[in-house]
Amino acid sequence: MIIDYTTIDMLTGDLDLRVLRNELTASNIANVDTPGYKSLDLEFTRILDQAAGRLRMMTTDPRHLPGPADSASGATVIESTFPGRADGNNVQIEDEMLKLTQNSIKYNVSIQLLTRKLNGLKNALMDARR
Amino acid sequence: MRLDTVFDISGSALKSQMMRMEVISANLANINATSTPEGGPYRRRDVVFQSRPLPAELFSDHLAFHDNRLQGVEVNQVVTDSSPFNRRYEPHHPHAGPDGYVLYPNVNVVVEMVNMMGAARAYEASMAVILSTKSMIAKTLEIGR
Repeated sequence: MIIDYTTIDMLTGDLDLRVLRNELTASNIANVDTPGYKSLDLEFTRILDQAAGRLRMMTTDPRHLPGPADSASGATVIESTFPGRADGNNVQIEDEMLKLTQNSIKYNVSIQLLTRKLNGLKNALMDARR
Repeated sequence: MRLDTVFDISGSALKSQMMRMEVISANLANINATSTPEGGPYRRRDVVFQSRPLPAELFSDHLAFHDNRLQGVEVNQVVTDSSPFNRRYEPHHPHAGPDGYVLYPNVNVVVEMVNMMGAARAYEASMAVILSTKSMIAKTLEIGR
């Protein structure tokens, strides 16, 4: 395999999920005072299982290219079951701010890995030109 | 790029909390207003928040997990507080009743201050979301640099 697209696809899939989680957190924080609002989050375990399955993809011939890794779909948005306040709202602002920071850091991690991957490919291409 | 959806969500929160702040400031400003154009003392007002689904075109339907549950927020209505007015014995006041009592607005300073802090904190939290998202977008532009 000349160029390993699996890494790039996985990282972009991860970026997609981080963006969605960021949106969900924004939605939760925006509705911190809305009666009856239930906190939303992503269920990550299932996505990780899918990613693991994707890495063990079958090929029947060594020359087969790996199929494009599908973007991380099938993730579910789940409602928090935390009892919450008397007005039916169960947003915990501390949790949301933590999620926001954590998500942003993990997003940056994926960006850095992606940049390194692309730089590696770039180096390989540049050396061939010399 | 869907990162900018956050600006719609958090922007709606900033607007709503600012409106709440306006209502609180009106309550505090009128804390001693014993007469109003519509008659009687000032009645305390309060905002009611409601979740607002985002416009459909903001969603990319090729991602199956994106199931339209992201919610902005809006001020649904401004309600008046029907609790009884405060009564003070001030017989020489022009708005005093025949018994010498003046009806003062049903505004409680402590309640308003607590609500004000709530509004300010919620505003700050949404502002933090916007700043965090801004830095994420800036990072995204660095891919491949």
